[in-house]
Amino acid sequence: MREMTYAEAIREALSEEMRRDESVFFIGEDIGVYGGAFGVSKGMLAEFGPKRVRDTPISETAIVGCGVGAAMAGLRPVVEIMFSDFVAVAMDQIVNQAAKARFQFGGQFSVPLVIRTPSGSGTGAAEQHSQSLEAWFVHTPGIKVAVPSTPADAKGLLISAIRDPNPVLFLEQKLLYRTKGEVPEGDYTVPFGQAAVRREGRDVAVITYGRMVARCLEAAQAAAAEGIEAEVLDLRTLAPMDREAIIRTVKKCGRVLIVHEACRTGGVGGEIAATIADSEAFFWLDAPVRRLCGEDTPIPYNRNLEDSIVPRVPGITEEILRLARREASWPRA
Amino acid sequence: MAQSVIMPKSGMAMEEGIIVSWLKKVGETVSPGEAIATIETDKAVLDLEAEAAGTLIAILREAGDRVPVTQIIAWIGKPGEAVPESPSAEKSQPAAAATAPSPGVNAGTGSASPGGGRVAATPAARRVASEAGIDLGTVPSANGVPVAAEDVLRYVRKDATPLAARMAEAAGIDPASLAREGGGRIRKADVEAAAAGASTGERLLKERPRSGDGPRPDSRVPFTSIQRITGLRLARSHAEIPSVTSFAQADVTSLLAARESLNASGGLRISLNDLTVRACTKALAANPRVNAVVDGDGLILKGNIDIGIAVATETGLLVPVLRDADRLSLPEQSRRSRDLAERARTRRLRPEEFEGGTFTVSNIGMYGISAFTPIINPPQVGILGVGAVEERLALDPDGRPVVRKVLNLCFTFDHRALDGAESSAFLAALRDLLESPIHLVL
Repeated sequence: MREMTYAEAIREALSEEMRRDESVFFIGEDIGVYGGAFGVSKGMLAEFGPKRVRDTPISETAIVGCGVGAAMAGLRPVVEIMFSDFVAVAMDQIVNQAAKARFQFGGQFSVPLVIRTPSGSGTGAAEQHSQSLEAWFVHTPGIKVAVPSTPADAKGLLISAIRDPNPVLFLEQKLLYRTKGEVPEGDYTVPFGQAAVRREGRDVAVITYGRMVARCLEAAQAAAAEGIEAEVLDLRTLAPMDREAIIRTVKKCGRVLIVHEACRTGGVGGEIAATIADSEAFFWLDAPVRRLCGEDTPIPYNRNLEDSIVPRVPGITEEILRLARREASWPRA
Repeated sequence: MAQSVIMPKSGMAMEEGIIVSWLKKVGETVSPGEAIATIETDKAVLDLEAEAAGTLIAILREAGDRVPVTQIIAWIGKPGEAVPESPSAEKSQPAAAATAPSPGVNAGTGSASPGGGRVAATPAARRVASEAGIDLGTVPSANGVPVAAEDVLRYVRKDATPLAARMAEAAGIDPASLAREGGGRIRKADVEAAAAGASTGERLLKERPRSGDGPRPDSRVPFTSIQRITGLRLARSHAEIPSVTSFAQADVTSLLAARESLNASGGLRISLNDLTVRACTKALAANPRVNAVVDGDGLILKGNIDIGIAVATETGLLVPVLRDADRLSLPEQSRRSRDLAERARTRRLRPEEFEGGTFTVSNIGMYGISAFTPIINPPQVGILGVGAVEERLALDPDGRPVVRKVLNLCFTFDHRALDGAESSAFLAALRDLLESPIHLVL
């Protein structure tokens, strides 16, 4: 199968949907002439023209608000927020308008809006350009949250998002834009709420998503060299979350490591752990549930510090081995 | 006025029970229907529920005590109320208590006793220990790390599946010698492979090396309460009933083929035992004197056909009863049998689920035993022993040798209730049914 980058897969999904459906259009800061801050939309202005690929002023409230209105009026807007940190500026439009309209109007309106935005640290861009904010939106009923981990998923999940009748926050992983992977040609979708087992194992269940999937797979490989087989579950979408897959992998392995880049406290990992604790999977737990997350701190500018506060392969490997060998230690009350 | 709490009589045969643990402490309030203690009867572990509302003002018998039924074990009253004089409690014999602790009741470490601090263990370890009916406090764990499921498994069955563990035990193979390459649980196939690969003599030589001189120590293993009760009944049955065992072989080649295609059609897990039980229900319906119980100088021909199915468990033989077996569809019969067996192994059967069987089936074919002479479960008049399926050479209608699969049927009956002709009619009917599977589904 042909290979392409994560960024190219997103461009292909968006372009194919715009060719297929006249009501799909695309707006955001510097997406047209400049081709997007990460080059995702290069060449799209030339193909689709300024009416469907439109540069906007620097106002996230206006960008998302325009998308909400157009969606309620019957179009299928895809809007880009240049860095996911800037969603804070558009919070009212996302949380109070987009997520609520269908319920507020008793189903007379829907908001088929996609908000694409790059997420995560690792670029030396510091506090306001590096966060992983998915937990804010997982905590907001009415909006779906996708976090693709591979080029193939980026394309399939984006097509699903554009065709979804409800608002979707599409959290692209900044550091994955240039990574390559196999991507099927043509029209296909990856359904929401369906996690993928990226690696089969039986000793430790590693539950993760987004950029951390690749790191967990690398760590699982390293653990396998020590005779420990870790299963790696990629959640793919966080709302809806595939709770059955979580329960399944926990029942299979008995020991659990949750890995995400976002900071620990109030993070999605807590929700995953709670899903395990208040399900039948609890009775299969053979060790306390372990979380490896970003530290509870703003992302530092210094590159060494920045690298040190998110989970890395050696740390993940060590946690897998310690869980499997029953050497892990837990904080005591 | 304080209300007494007594050791309940939860089954006709129950004469005493063991207090496994108190779930309430003195001074705690209780309401009707609330579980206040766990009781081990001869067949199951049950919750003892409070019948009165109030405060638990006295506990007379401790966890681990063996107490005759109807004896007072605690009092419920108002806070501060005096504990009434309790003649039965005074008459009780404390010396009789806890002389023979049974598995499931921790006698050694005390670490699982109420208020004595819980054993640090994972949820999975607790689940596995509870299913195996053993006390976590007795399970060794390395270096003070909390007990994990693998510790319990290793302790209970040396990492083998329950079936593999039973087969290994029957075949005299140490499951520890079957450790799989790369880990993983020991399964039936591993035991079979080991049994085929080494003669008993070789295994015995390997397992009991004649090394060292000097005497090797004996050890005493007390009977579990299930083994004690079962033993009494078996002894009485064996001594009093003039029993005879007849044998027959059923050609089950086509039955096994039918079973395979049934199960292959999806969703079903019909076992050979399910089919044997089904054949029994039909043979019993046609031979009502076999579906009967002895009553003094007569027989009571039972209206219902309730089949007791013998299940080997960690703590002894249990015989849960499949009610109205002849009225169940085959899938339903199979599902219920599996459920009964599973709950028998985890000791979660209710007392009434052991009582009132009209006939019993005991199957030890999975151990490769050809035939045996089962002992009648009184007051029933018959019991069917089922042996292994074995291959036999036979001649087909054209005189060519073919391999047929035959099942050994062993029917023990009470000769007072059935004569040779009657018992043979039943056994022959059973064989004919097993040999023509089409009649089983009708």
